[in-house]
Amino acid sequence: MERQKKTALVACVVSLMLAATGCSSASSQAEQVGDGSGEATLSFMTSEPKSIVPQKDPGSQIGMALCANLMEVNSETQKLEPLAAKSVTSDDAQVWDIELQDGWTFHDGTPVTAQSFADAWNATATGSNAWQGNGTFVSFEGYDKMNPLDGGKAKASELSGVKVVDDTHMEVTLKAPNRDFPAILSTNPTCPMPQSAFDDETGYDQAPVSNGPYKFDSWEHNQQVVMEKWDGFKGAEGFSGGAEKLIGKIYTSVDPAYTDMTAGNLDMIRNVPATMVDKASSQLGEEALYKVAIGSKQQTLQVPAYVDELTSPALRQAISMSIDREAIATSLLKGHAEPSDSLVPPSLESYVPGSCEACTFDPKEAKEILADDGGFEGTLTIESNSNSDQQLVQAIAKQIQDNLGIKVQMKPMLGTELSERRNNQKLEGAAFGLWGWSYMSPDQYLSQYETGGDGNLATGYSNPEVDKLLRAARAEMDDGKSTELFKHAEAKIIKDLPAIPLFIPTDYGLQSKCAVLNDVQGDLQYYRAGYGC
Amino acid sequence: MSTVNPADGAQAVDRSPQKSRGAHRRWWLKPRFAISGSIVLLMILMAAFPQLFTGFGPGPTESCDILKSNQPPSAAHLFGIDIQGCDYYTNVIYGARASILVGIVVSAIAFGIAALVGAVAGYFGGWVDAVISRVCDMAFGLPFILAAIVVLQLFSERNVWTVIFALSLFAWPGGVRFMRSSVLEVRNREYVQASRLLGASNGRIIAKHIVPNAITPLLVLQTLGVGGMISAEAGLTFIGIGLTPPSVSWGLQLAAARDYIDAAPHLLLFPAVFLTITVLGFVLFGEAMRDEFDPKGK
Amino acid sequence: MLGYTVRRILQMIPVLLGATFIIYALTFLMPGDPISALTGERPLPEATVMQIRQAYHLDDPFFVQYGNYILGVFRGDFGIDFFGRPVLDLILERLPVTFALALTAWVLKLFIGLVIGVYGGLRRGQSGDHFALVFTVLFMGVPGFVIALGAQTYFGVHLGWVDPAGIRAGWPMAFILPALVMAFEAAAGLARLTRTSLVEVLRAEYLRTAKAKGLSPRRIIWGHALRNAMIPVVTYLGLSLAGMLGGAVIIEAIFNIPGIGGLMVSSINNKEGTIVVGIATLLVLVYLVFNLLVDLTYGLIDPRVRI
Repeated sequence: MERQKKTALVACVVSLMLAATGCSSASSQAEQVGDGSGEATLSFMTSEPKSIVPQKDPGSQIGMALCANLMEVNSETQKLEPLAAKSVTSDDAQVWDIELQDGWTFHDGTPVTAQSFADAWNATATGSNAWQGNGTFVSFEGYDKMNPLDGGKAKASELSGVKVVDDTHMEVTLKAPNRDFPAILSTNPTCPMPQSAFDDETGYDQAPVSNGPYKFDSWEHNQQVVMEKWDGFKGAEGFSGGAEKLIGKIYTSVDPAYTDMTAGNLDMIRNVPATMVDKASSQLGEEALYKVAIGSKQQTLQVPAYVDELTSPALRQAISMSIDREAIATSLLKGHAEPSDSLVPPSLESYVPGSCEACTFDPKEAKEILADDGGFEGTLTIESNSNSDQQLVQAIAKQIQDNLGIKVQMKPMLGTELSERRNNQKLEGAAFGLWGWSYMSPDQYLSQYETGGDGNLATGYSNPEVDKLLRAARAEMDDGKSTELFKHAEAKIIKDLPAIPLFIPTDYGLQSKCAVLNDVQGDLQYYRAGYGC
Repeated sequence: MSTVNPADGAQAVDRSPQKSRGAHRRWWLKPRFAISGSIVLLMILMAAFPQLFTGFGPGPTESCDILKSNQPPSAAHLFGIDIQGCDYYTNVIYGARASILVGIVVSAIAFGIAALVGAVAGYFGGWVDAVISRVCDMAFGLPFILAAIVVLQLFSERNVWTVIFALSLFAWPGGVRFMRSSVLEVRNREYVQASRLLGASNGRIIAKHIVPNAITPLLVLQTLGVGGMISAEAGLTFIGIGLTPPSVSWGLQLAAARDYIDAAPHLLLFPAVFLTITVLGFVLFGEAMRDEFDPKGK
Repeated sequence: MLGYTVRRILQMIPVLLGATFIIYALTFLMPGDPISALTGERPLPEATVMQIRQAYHLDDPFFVQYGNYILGVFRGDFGIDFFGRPVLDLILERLPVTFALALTAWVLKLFIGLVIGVYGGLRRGQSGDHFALVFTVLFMGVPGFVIALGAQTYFGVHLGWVDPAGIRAGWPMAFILPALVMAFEAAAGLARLTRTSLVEVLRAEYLRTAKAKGLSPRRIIWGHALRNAMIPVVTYLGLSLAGMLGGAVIIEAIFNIPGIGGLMVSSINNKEGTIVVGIATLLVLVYLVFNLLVDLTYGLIDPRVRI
């Protein structure tokens, strides 16, 4: 009797441990999710939003679904096309004419006018509001007056570069020419806001009214955000999605979301970690994986210009050549990443294969280069975010240490600390960096190496020739000529290796049987998904 | 499960409380002690001299091959290969050091502080006791994880000693209370009164009479706590706020294994088994000690 | 009794102030900048950062910041987060979830721990006792997340008895599995305490007297021994409930339960000091109140204690 009880308990504990190690693969019962009403409902994974107002959280998937921007990428053509605008044009890339569509309204029926955009932009550009979309307007004329660098009071409350001509026409003047301006108009911070948003700000935070394909329904904190398809949306099919109802289910991390998906309670997950991809394809089936064809992200080893021991280009080359990217990509990363050999991802027009010559693995040559350069006595520290890619950083550190014979010390820290050290130029060595574009353009990558450019703080790289080339490339309205200028700039930058290219990670999404995922120029947006049941 | 021994049990039940201290003789031969004690000894040995167990071969991060990442156990690699392509057996053996060190050192520090502060609080009473008790309340009331995270974040490099520091900061209050109540019992005994009348100083009385006579229960309590501290370190490291690479520890191995539960279950299995056996060994050892030496348990 | 209670409540004030001060100081000293956490790799323009720092008084000296904070707390104002939401709201919307989880786990643990402890105590030294010990300690030794993930996969996905993640099913279905895992992990301490306490009482003189008087063993055990053995157990139980409220970070993360633990970790990661301190203040308060309640209960069940 006693013995039987013991055996049963032991068996129970053992079976728990077995289940944990997944000895028996999970049932792939991706049954139809939804509330049974027959309504085409799709659910997606999100974290508890800090804000669902597009201007306050530029990366918000919910914000994207709620808002129809002046320009958007059409998921059918994969081209940037006017949406809320009829046209966005310029002769010199500095002064832009915007003509709005006639008769478009917000979800509550009030008309979307040029003023709705101007008001929203002015509010977002107001530094003291502390909206995260603020940075988008740096390139607008008049931004500096609203955001004085000395921390004093703002000298203006409106962007002088934004002029409302009439209800459907506006004119934007930029500080400097930028051919990517239409693409900027496709990002969350440039969404319009109705007058009601300013009348009741706290109310708007909790229940925003916008003009996009989906309208806000409810937000149950820490549980879910529900949106419904808005029948007043006048855009083409390629700007909308297949679901009648979108539910953003709130998860604290991707692991429980994945488990919920295996139990058939969730339809879509984006940014699936590489370690989860193989598990998913065996447990949920190959068809559950959505591979984003366009690589929009890049991992690099940033080498700050202000760290004196690391300034030698030869040393940087030697470090770069000592990393066997191919081996790491196939083994550790299971093929879910490509070795990178340029400062931009291959999906961009300006990409030149092999522009980074030092990105080819050659430990022998690397040692020679280092010896010729006088060797390296100190310790190479690699600072990184302790919450992501730790195994990858460890593998890279090990490669450099083993193949180059120098001391490498990892320094993982919290993301906040890493950003602080980056932004205040207090890094003590190299830093592991991940960069992605907000819209598809070489400028989004190369501006990291432009004095004062977006993301330039990380390396502090500054080269007047490069600055000049990038300015010229942005001002050039001709696609081919502009691409050439970007290529030229990259070729100049790569000589100094301010950042050592590492990998282009492959982006994956997970979808249930009912969800048909879709990406727009490499960006997987939940609301664009089709409904396949 | 093998510590279950009926013979030992029968003896324990029949033992009368009046039995002389002679009953302690050869206590270490009892199976409970023998088994849990050998586990503890083995683990301490492993922590101190991991080379003994790896045949003086290459260290944990030497002779790795990234291309062999996550290979399952084989004849050449008994525990398989880890994510970085290193021999997992070597890594698990070397992982013992961090766990054992944290467990023992933190318990020892907590023991020292608790013995001293508890004795002072119990002996002097009054406002000294009140202040100490309030400070204990603070340390008790703060949620352990929150406090540990915040303290650990203060260090830019987190190694075994920073983890020991953080755990020690919050590991002592329980012992202080325990010691305090033991001291309260001892304080009014005749021999203490007598030496006070003979003019002995407070410090002397505490050192000579109070502490030696009240310390056994605390010692037992802290021995029991070693297992808890070992799991606490693994837990903190698991949620990413304890040790960081290049340290080698079971907590780190478990944290890394979590992403590979399906692809490479051996990564989870071995450190988990070692950790479980170690915690089990220390707790059972503490239990056995309590049954033997703690007057309350008799 | 009333005087005692009032005195105890007054004693709470320095403890509460001290605890918040410590946490506030530590969060202040923590490296990292909360504003850089707002946008990740893409930093906000310098001018904006400066404006935010001013709006949130981040550049004030430490004691000014702390003073303002404490004054606010006394007015019931725990500050706002960087998106303008009141910190108190953030905490209060998660508190019921944490309470539900902790209470469920606590009750289950009470049951498991007492049953195993009493069983072990009554059979001291027999194989059943040893087995009970090893069983409880095993749950302590096996890493918690292994048990949690295993239970989640087995009961949540394979058998489908409960939702594997989230609390949409509400109480009790959404809480039963995580609570059970927490209960088993924490039962070892309670079981051992109950056992020791029971063994001790069973040896006491008055039980011998009872035996000599010819009372039945059943009456002795249930009528006298257990009641007296429960006194130290009650202290432990009260404090462990307070502890459970603040210590379920891993379980919350695995089962996707939006409780205090997750908020705590994420706000520490983002260095949102006001939220961290708010949570700490609340949890310390809860601990102190429980501590008081336990001591008051003590007087009720143990006639020897006079308060």
